[in-house]
Amino acid sequence: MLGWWRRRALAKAEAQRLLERMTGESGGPSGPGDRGRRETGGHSGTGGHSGPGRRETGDRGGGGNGQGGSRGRGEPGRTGNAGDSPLEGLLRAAAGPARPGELAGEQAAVDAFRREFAAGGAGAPVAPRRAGPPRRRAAVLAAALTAGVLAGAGIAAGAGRLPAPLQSAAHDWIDQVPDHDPAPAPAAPTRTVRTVPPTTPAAQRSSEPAVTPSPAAPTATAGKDMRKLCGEWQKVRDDPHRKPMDPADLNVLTAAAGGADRIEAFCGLSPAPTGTKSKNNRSSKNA
Amino acid sequence: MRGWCSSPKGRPALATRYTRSATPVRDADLAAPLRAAASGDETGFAVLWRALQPAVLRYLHAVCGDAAEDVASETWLQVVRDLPRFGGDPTAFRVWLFRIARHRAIDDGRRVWRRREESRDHVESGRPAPDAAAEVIEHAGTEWALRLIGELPQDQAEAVLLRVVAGLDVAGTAEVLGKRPGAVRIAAMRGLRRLAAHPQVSARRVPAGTTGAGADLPHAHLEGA
Repeated sequence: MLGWWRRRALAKAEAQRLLERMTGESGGPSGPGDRGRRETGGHSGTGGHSGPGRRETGDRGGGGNGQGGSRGRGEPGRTGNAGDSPLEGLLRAAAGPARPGELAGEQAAVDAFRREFAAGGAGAPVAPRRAGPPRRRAAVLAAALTAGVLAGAGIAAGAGRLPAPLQSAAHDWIDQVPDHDPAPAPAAPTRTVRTVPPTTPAAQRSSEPAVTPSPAAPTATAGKDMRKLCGEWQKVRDDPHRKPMDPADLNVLTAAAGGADRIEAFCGLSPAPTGTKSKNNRSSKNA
Repeated sequence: MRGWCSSPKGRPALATRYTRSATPVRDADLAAPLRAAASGDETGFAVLWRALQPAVLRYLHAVCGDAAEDVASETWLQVVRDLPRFGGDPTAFRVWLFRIARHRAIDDGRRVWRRREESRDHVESGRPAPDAAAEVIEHAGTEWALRLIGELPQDQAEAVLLRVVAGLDVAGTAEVLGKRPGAVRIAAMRGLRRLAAHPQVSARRVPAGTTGAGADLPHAHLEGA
């Protein structure tokens, strides 16, 4: 237990010291002179506060101030702080000189460089080709955005939460809504009176939802559930004496269905399965 | 040992130990090559490449495993294409390079943090033959170190590699990772703490002390950096 705590404390202290040192040394921007100063300064300065870890390794590493006489190492000048601590050794090792394998590709790289520059002098061909990866990234981003927007719109449309024109347009684009909306409707098998939609104002389309009398009307109806509209529409269809539907509602419904003659299918009223219907609608829409 | 993409046989021979590596190269030394490369000079580009490719590979290997070499090639290709329009200094170039590398890795969907959890458990429950001492003696210290770093959680490994291997400062690392500097500091800190507590690291105290292997570590970068 105690050992664990001690190890942990040591590790922490050491990491702290190394980090401090690193900020001085391996930071790119500071000049070499500055870095050298920081290194020596940091070395002596932080020796104290890292406490036991420092001491423990210190006698082994032979101080680490340059020549490190006792050890008589190969490159005394470079040994500097070598062996100061295992962690430091590890970091030095990680940043160690290139291994031969790492430089194996030099010729290929230089060749590539030559090709690039031969391809048209510095800069000239670069611009168009550069567009490669970023463009791909942009395409991916655009696709993701589109998907997100569509999904969002789909959800909103499914919930009937879009502003009226958008809602109708959404139904125009994605006629998935009837798939789940008209759930109660199929209860009425209906004597399908095709093409006798109540008041059909000559194929109202989504592009002109504003035709309706008051601007407030569509917004009001937009919130309404499509299901309700379908129910109304069905009642009107089935009962010739009934008062025609509210034109605004009808507009919305028509737009959502993608045409007056599709309302039936849209509402799942026709005997054909609604799922395939709506898909057919979609492809033949506006034809 | 899991081979690095540059192949495990890449043990640095003595002769190559002090070839210029990723981090030892001072940014100041790269200014002229960078300018030259931007104007189409092959030699300049070769210097840049030699200086930074190892770090790129090491970073990428942690990010995308065996695809590191491919992604590194793509990275350099993009660098070459955009180089004429790059107007920054070597420090900015480093950041730019690693940002491209990271993006390439992500773009290509090769970000596979290969079952880190598993491998970590594996390590901590006593790997078959970690034998840190032997590895150090064989100059496989770099591989060993990179492997341990690669076993860190992703954000920590990236932060540590960018800070230590790529030689970026906190701001540059944050820029590459698209994080805030504070987050980078924390990630690097945690990574180092975890590394320090790693059994293999603590086990290494002894061999490092007794064999003097610490001196054999390629640590030249701190003087150069």
